[in-house]
Amino acid sequence: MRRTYINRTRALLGASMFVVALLLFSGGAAQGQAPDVRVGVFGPLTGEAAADGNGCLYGTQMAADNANARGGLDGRKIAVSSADDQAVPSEGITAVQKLLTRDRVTSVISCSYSGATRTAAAFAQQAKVPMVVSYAVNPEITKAGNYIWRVFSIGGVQGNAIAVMAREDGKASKAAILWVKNDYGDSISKAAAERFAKLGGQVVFNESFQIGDKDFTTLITKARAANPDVLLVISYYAEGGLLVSQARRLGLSVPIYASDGLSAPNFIELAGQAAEGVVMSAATNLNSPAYKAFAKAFEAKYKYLPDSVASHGHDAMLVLLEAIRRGDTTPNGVLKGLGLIDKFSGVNGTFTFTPAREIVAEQSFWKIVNGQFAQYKLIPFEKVK
Amino acid sequence: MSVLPQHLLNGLAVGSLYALLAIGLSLTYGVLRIIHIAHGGVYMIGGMLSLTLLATLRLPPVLALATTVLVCAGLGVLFERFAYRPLRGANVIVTLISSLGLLLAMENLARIVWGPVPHSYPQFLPLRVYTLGTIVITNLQILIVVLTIALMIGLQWVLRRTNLGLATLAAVQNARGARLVGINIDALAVAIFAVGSGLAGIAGVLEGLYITSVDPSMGAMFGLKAFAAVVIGGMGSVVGTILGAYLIGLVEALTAAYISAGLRDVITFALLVLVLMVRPSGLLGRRIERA
Amino acid sequence: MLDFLLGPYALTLLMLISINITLAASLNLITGYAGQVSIGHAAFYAIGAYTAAILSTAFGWSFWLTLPAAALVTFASGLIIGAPSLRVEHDFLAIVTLGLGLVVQGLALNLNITGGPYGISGIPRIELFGHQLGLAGYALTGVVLAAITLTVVRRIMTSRPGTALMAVREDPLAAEVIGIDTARYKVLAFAIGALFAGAAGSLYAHYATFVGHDSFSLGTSIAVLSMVVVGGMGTQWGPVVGAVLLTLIPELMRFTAAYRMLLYGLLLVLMMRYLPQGLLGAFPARRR
Repeated sequence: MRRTYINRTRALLGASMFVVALLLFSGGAAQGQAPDVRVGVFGPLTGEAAADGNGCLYGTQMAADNANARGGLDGRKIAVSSADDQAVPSEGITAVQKLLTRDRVTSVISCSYSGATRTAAAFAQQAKVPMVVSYAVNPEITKAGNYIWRVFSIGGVQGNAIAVMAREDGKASKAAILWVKNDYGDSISKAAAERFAKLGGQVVFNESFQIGDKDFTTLITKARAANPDVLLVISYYAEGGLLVSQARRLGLSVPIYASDGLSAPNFIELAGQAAEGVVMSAATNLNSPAYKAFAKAFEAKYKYLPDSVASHGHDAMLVLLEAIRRGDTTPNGVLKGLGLIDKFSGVNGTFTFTPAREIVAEQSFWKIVNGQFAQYKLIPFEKVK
Repeated sequence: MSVLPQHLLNGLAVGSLYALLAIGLSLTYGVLRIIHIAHGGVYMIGGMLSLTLLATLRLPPVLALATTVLVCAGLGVLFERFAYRPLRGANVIVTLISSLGLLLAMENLARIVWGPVPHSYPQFLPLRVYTLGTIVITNLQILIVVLTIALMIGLQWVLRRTNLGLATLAAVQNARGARLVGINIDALAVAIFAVGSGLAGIAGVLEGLYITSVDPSMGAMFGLKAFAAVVIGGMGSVVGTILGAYLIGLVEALTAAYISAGLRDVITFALLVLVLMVRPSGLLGRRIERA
Repeated sequence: MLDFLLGPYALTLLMLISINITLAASLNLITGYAGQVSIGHAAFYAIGAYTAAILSTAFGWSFWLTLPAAALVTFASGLIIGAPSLRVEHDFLAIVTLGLGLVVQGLALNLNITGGPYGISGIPRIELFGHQLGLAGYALTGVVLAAITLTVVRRIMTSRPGTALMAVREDPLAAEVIGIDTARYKVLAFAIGALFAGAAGSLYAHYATFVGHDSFSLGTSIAVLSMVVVGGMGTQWGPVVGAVLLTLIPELMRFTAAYRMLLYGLLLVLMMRYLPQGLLGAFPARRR
């Protein structure tokens, strides 16, 4: 008898706790009509990928601040709501739902990786709220539906561009491809391998490694044995920095062409001397006045040099602001506005949208010269389609 | 085939680092039955702290190393005193959750203090590369393997020849019996955590030198693999633990070499599961008496 | 009605909480009642989710078919994996299950049938009488699944096999002596726990509409185990309290940004130090 009593008290206690807790979350933030135009940004603000999420968020924030300093949108301020997804797909749901349902945003920017972006995209599409993806490359993301747009080239395009560069700029004929095992590495490396072979080259070594790997000596030992004349590194800067420095240390001295993951100042810090001469896809024209102005302002405000995620977060916000100007501040108005954008010039360069809501843009490459990124080549989109 | 020795050498270097970490785990489990997952966090703190000492404060390497070892040892003792000792005798899951909490707290604290990105580690030892035919050996690899083996021999000596060591071995065999014959488990616990955590700190410094970078996330998976080494080798057997560590290092290197680097963790942990299914107490382990 | 009462954000959290209760309650059967520490519960969650994803995208099955299918598949995997695993020395099981979780995650990343690094997207939403479920519908389905899990676990624990199970946990040797087939009950508890994790996986797949290898990580397993322990192992309502708290606390702490996970970690340490039995717990060893 006593046991049942205890259980019932506990059940009641639990149930009431639960209800109180949920009611805490039911209060909508959008009460007391805020006149602001609210844009949601989600990304990894904590955890391993926090640098990318925060950098991208800063980029969006800066674009909003600049617009507000110029009087906002018809006198209405732009407010940024952020949500942390830790780059974990299931957290992507809670993060985007917080933005969509509690903050009632007019549109969303993904400052996150592909996994979390894909789960979030399904919810944005379902809620009919436009979402602009700033730097995730998985080709599947925009297939979630007509509300999902992207301001970054998909993996395949970048892979083609890297192959073209290795073949034409590097005059290489035997490529070793080392790629990080996830959707980013898989989509870029597959395209690079196919295009390199199509252009008459030979892929002599093609292997993946795990995200988070640090010791690449074994992989490099193997790659070296295949005797390549160029190394294609498809990776993020953490793994890429170590891979490049260990490759040079172990005497693998062929030219290196890399993916945009390495176009971050952290890559140079990690690889040190070994970074010298590495060429990487970068999605940004360093020499454009727009980028120079952005980089200068960003560094003044956040005390570090912006990387690709920051400049693309910035462009994602600029695209949304342009869409709101052309349409209106409702989600469907933003969608209509996005459809009206024909040619867009942001800080990373100029692009147009395809009917599949992907961009058509020149492919930029940087080279590391004297420990600094330098603009190296621009390849027209027609060549890397 | 001529690259095989190279792969084995690479495996030995990584296995050494696992061994340095695994010792602490083996002793804490053996004596106190704590699955000390936060040990990987101590190793990470070793790497990050020494980075600050070397790069920002520009301390001489020996001083930086000594400070790191001391701080890590102190951290271990602190954990023992405030997180684990109050839980002594509780279900092993309780200490496990506490340990996971410590790891989570350390990782995220480090992300706040040092930032979430990896940092390049100061290379205070000039790199030397020796080429023997097709094999490339660096002085760092030699240092790591030799230093680890020396430390392990020293540890064996302490365990076999000193009162503290014998008390430890006795407690590993039978904790209740050890208490009955007057061994002070509290003092022993402090000693074990201090030594184990100090070794973890050394491992953090060596990893920084070898890999050339450190980051706040470096500890979690590394700690888990070190624990896998302890389990494979057999809990409560120091020799088994060291063996397990080298086995994992070699399996990882050979998987990367002959199967795929992308499958390394899958194969390592599949091996762990298989070993335990065939030999439930690990390769050299005895059944542990449940106190 | 639920919409009106709670609002969409609370419904989202209710859905998440329901899934977590299902996971925690099923793990409670394995860890709390049968005394088998598992840090790999996400493996079964993943197997269930991928089963539902594959059956629905490749064969057009609806949620109402993939749910039992996923449960069946995970029950079978629980039996197959459980039988040899449970031979392992008691505490080592934690590491074996941890390894299993990582192996399942690694296989999801490397196999073709799971979509490799791309995962599987386009999983259809749940339909009932020709209507797609809204947020309230999902939350309600989640609550029902959680309630069923709690009821079944309770039924098992008050039945003869349940008593046997507890005897096994309290004193495996004595249980064996009085003729309880300890191994059989342990494996059965393991498989039934896996079954409900699989069902939760199926619901998750049809809710998220996308599953990838990083959807079900070691972090998920650890979070679920923490829920069980914080709420109170081996208690009926412990997993519910644990799941509610550990789902809502990180949400409440969103404003602390970078400090969120640091505080969460410290909270776990303090909880274990001052309430090692969990909030509702009196781990029976103490009560008797």
